[in-house]
Amino acid sequence: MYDQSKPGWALIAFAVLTTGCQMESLHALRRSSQSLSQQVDPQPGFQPPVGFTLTIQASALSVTNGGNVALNVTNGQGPFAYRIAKGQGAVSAAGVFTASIVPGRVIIEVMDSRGERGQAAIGVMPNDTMFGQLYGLNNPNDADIDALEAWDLQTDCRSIRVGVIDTGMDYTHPELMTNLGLNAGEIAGNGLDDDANGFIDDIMGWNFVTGTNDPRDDNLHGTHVAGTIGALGGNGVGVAGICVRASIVPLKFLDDAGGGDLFDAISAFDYARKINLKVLNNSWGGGGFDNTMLTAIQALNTADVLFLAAAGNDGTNNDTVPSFPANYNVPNVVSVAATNNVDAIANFSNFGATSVDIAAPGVNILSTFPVVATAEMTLAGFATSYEKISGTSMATPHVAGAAALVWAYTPTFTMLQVRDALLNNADTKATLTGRVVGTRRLNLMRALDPNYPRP
Amino acid sequence: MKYRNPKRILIVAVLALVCAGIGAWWGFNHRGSMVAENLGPVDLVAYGTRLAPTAAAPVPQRAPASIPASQSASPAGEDSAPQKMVLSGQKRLQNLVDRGQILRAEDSKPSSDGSFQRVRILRTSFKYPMVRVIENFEIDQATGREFSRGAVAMVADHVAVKLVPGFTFAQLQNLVRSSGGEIRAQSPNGDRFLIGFSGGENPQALEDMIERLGRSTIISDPAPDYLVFAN
Repeated sequence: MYDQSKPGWALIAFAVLTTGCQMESLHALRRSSQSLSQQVDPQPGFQPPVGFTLTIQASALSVTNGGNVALNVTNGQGPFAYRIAKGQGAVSAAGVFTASIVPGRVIIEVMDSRGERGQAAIGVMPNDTMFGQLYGLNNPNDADIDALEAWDLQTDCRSIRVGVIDTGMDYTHPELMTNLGLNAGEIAGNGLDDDANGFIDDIMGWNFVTGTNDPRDDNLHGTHVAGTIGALGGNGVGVAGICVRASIVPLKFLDDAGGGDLFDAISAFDYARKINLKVLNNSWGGGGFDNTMLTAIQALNTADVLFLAAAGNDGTNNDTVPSFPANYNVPNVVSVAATNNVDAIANFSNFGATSVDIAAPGVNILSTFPVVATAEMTLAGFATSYEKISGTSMATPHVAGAAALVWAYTPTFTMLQVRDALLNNADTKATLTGRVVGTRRLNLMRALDPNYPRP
Repeated sequence: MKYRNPKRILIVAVLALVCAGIGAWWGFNHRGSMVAENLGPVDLVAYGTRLAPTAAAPVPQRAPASIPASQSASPAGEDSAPQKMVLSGQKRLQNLVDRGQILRAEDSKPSSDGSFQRVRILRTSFKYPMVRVIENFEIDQATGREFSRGAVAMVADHVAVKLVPGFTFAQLQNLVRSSGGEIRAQSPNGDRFLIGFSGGENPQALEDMIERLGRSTIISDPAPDYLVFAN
């Protein structure tokens, strides 16, 4: 039996690496083993429980970055936040452990100084320089969506194309340009509708404001939303999106002042359906109930397209004062409220005990901004490239990115299964009582793996 | 003639300039938020109701004061950092209104509790410049002051319609012409249209056009083209 009174524990044997593992996993494992020998840093007060299980996981992300190593210690009762921060702590004794590779993760058998055996999983911290400011993804007080844990299983969403129906996207941003979803069926600049979808040269989405093929953001909003979904991760600069690798298609229908009309919005829906986008982020709202829009959303539902919608920023109750499109009662519509860094609902966020489906971080969210200042950025005194802003608009792309990641991880899922994975496996927060259905706050890790232990 | 100390005059003048500057700066930076306080939640009045709220189109209610949106739910230690750039759709709409030119404004007859509806037609910087804003007001019984319960905006001089399958574009053109309108835009799918008309500065013109087009069997769902905003 493990002696809990002893501070720390020793890893004493490194044995056999299973053959046939992928080279990148080997690299990751080597990194992990080096890190283990140098950087074990249990959180204050942590005591490995009797019969604990360690699982060491590695993902592609771990190979490409040089960031910190994270260690999750779990047992049958739940996970223990147990991270090995770079440059902190030390292993108390020389360690030897056994590793085996299973699909998607590296599992290492460990044995402590008393002969207790277990398994350990190692994940990694991305090396993006601003990652520490992304409290919604990882946060010492756990008011986050457990993105780090999820990334041990899946980081790449490129198989699921996500539409950002917004003010466009600055596709020249270094963190977004490689995650722009290009239309392989179209030949750029030949003036022809090569893929016969009704849009000429729609290489990278469409601009419904001007009726052209250039959806570049002239506001700021869409670029920020897109960054939360899929800013390039592990590239050593800036931020990381929930999808470290993504395929984002900007559908611009809001103008440089952030305004648009339903006619263009519905055109964007129809286009999204036509080019087989699977997840749509809708960080906008307004107007009244509209039957044509309802029909368009129903058509998306039939086409198995998930529709994430911001609940609204008026601080009002959507149960009594509906906010559209979030309040359309169609199975594919998920209404999203905003929480802050202590899991309280944001003071501006609309809410609804029966009409708002889930909450996600939406206060002071850091993400990408246009690299050249727009009029609105200048007026508001914003910096270029990266900024923190707040809104249910910022919460919604957390869920959209999560949806894409879940779908990429389990490609056999239907749209409704993806939706249910997000909603049914969310964390429950007492702070959201009476505000959100089931007091749900997004948990990305559990959306990927419902069996992941709860704290 | 009394002697005045020029140094003192200079100091007073500088102080006055500084105060004026601070005032101007404050006014500029708080313009949106001050105006926005006058706007409440989005009004979801079903279109087609006239200028008085009906049972089918209730005046939206704010959340009960006993459960404010965040304060009661926020545990100690809530993020106290200022929230940058929280723009609701209502604030963006207010910005559009503030920068627009009011062409017409019309208030409904107040109901027994004093609530009323204001319809304004504005020329704005929006893609379709003529915008119709419907805003609900209530009267604070204590102070007698009117306050907004929210607004909804739409393009004032066109109607969105769908062409019923089986009918042709030519038939639609005939209908539109006979209704005194013109086809302003066609959706990429080809099944939806914006029907523009003149006289949009009349607060009732949009409803009249919808009613007229609604009698036709070759189109369906004639409706306002609502304005929406990033939030």
